[in-house]
Amino acid sequence: MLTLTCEDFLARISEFIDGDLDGAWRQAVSDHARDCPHCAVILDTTQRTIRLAGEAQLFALPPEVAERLHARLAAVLAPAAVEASAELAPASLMAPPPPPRPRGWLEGWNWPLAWAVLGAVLIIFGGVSWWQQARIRTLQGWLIDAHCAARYIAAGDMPVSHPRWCLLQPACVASGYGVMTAQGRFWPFNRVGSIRALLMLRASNRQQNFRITVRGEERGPILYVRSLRWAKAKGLISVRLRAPAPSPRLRQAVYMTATAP
Amino acid sequence: MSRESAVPVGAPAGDDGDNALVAAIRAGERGRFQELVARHQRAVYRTALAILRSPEDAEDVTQETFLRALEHLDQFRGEARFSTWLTQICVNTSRMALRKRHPELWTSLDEPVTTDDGALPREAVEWREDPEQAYSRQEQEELLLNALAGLHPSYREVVVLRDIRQLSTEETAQALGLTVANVKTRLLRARLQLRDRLAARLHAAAAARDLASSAPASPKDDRPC
Repeated sequence: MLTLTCEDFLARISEFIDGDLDGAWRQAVSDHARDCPHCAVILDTTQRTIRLAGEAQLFALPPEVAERLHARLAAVLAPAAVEASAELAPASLMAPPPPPRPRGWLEGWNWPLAWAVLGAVLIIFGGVSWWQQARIRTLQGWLIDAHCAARYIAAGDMPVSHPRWCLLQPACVASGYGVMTAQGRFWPFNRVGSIRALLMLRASNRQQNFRITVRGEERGPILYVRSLRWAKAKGLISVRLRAPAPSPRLRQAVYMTATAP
Repeated sequence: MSRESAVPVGAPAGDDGDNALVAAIRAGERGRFQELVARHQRAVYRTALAILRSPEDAEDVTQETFLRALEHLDQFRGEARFSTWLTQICVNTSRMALRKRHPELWTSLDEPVTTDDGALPREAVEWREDPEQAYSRQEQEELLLNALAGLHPSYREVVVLRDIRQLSTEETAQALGLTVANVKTRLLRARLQLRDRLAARLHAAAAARDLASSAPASPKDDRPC
């Protein structure tokens, strides 16, 4: 029969409590506990310690902690679930989406269409301007009113000597002006052109031979005047409407002369 | 000592359910991980709280444990029970938390534990009352946590897994990476130290209560062996 010291007893107390000791040792530990009150207390309180530690109610998981745990796991599992369900999806789905890039003004254009539209606009613009250009005429001839022009055309004459006073007759002014070319064709001006011609005529001090150079756009029978000037006189007197304004230098010179002692 | 079984508290009796769930999760039903968590959350929290003492740290470690388990689920080979594997992760995570909080403790923890004589109980005083009856649940927890906090971490882990989680000696050994003999040795020291510390606290509490009620101090009935 085994007889234990207190130290032997304490060395086996844990295994005794767990029921891991075989017959002889188990008996020896029981006997020692019965005979030694000190060790009996140790055995008892150790058992109670273990019982307290194993108390199922202790260290319970607070519900709010469990909630937070599940919420965090749900957050982790959520994108993973998408990933798992989209196993065949392209890699771009797996990666987090790139942040949206600010959209440039050139983005999203249908470039072929844009080029086509630009080309069409250029062609139309070019065509129109070519067509306009093609109708622009520069004519030389005599300024004459429509009323009297008919007379010269009928006579097959040029209005070289048509007088100023006739040109300014109210009936003639009202009929509008035009240019009669050397070929005997009369081009009536548009209304604005006629007014310009009248103003030019009034400002002029010529009496006859109102030869002009006119540039304008041909629209049907009417010539839309763009520029109108007296033709360079060939041997005839061409008078400036007004003397040019004296330059500051000239004025100074005149002043100096006038005020000189 | 009545020990119903070696099943850890809060875990299901059989492990088949766990293994089937793990297989389902691995097969793509990741949403069922929450079910697995629900089965083991109490046990993991209990372990972490007993090792770390602070409820905040225990919550962090519990979350971390399950996140790691989810991450490394394909490394679980089913050689051990799932609860044991989870416990292993929990203990490692708790150790890291402790290391972060008390780095000085860990230099000593890595050394072999040789405090044999100091581990033996010095006094044997009968407890006048059972803490389970005399104290509220919260007071009991506090008592136990304070007593556990005084234990060396390597002892604490053993007693937490074996007595608080009520794992078997073999499972404790597996979870801690120790031999069974090693677990038994540490468990003996741990239990006696825990008893000592608990006894000291119970006595202090009883004395304080006696003083408060102006009753004479309790007679000492410890006799040298």
